[in-house]
Amino acid sequence: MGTDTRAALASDDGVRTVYAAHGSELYRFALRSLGDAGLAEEAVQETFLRAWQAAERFDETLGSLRTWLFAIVRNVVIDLSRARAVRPELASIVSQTNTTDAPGADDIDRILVAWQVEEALRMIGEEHRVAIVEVHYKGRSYGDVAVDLGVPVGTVKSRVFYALKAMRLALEELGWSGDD
Amino acid sequence: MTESCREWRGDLAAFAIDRLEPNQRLALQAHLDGCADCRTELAGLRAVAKALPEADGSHLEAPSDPPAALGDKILGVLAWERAGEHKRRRRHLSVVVGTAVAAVAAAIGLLVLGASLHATDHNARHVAFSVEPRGVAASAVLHRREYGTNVSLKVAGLHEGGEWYWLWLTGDNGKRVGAGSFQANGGEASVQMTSALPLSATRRVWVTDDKNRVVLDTGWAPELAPRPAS
Repeated sequence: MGTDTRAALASDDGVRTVYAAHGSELYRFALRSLGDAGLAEEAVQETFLRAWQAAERFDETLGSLRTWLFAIVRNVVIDLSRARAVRPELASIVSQTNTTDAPGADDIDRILVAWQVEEALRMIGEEHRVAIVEVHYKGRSYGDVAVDLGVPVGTVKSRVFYALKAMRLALEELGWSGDD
Repeated sequence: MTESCREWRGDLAAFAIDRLEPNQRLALQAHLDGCADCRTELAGLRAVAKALPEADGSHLEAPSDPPAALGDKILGVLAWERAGEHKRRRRHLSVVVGTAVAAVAAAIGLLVLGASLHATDHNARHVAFSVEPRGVAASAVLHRREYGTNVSLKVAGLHEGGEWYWLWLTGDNGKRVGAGSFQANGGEASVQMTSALPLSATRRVWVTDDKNRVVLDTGWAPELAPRPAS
């Protein structure tokens, strides 16, 4: 419940635990979204700050801590993207600043799905990842991949099947809602 | 799902990613027509397959790890926030007690304490904004912290629509570093914000609104860096 999360974020050890579990993936998502290491760092910092401030509202019956943190970092990324897109250094001089370049929530959600898929691919086993990357992303035939790997075609097909199954589990763990 | 369904798994996956040969597709379709379990399995695989094109192959390798110091920086920020919350609670309590018992004495005591802190705190700098919209009043104090600079910002007279604002510090190298965002409910805000920029390198403090217009600005101010303790 919220109290536990607040308690976890109330001590250095708790923050370390939460950061060790989720800090890297939050950073990678922020970096993927913002394309700037400094801003990504700022986004993660702001995410933990907002999480601490809103910890009382966290309800684990509605979703995991990871899902909640990703909802926060998504909003932080949107805020930072908008701030960056309007080039604040020039804003005081150029009053008619164009703000249309700022990515919207839909753009960020697409980046979030992209990041989730990439992270899921990293999380599954090596054999399964190779099979899905070679067949799907590189567009190679099952037969060619089977020859390269020295296994029967049926094995490659089976690996692609288990790759998709494992990815689904990984994606769900990452807060993916792909059946919507 | 029957034992024979296992034989169809590879084809189910190939069908989901649209890589099944037409003749195999017909055979699979015949099986699917009579197997609800495999239809359910296929739906799950297709949902994942639908998301696959979102990924960029160039991002699959060499994931970036955050800087090693980021965890400690976050610890520092939260420690400061926790300390600030305690102070706010203590301040609230002192106001209640002071009103009930001896308001005048308490006020005098606080004034003396405040003056004392101001005179001896060499790690803090009060900030005056040279750019302030008409009707807006703002003050800020910068505090040197191990992880960078903490900014205590108070502002009133902003638009009352609860707009968002961003606080920035600019370093002596001209590079801006964000200190976070805040919302001015009722046109007012009293916030504690943090930036990784060291106080000694801070030369400008400024605030932008959600249209990225500069709302508050100290301008370039070399005197922002605190003088060393004498």
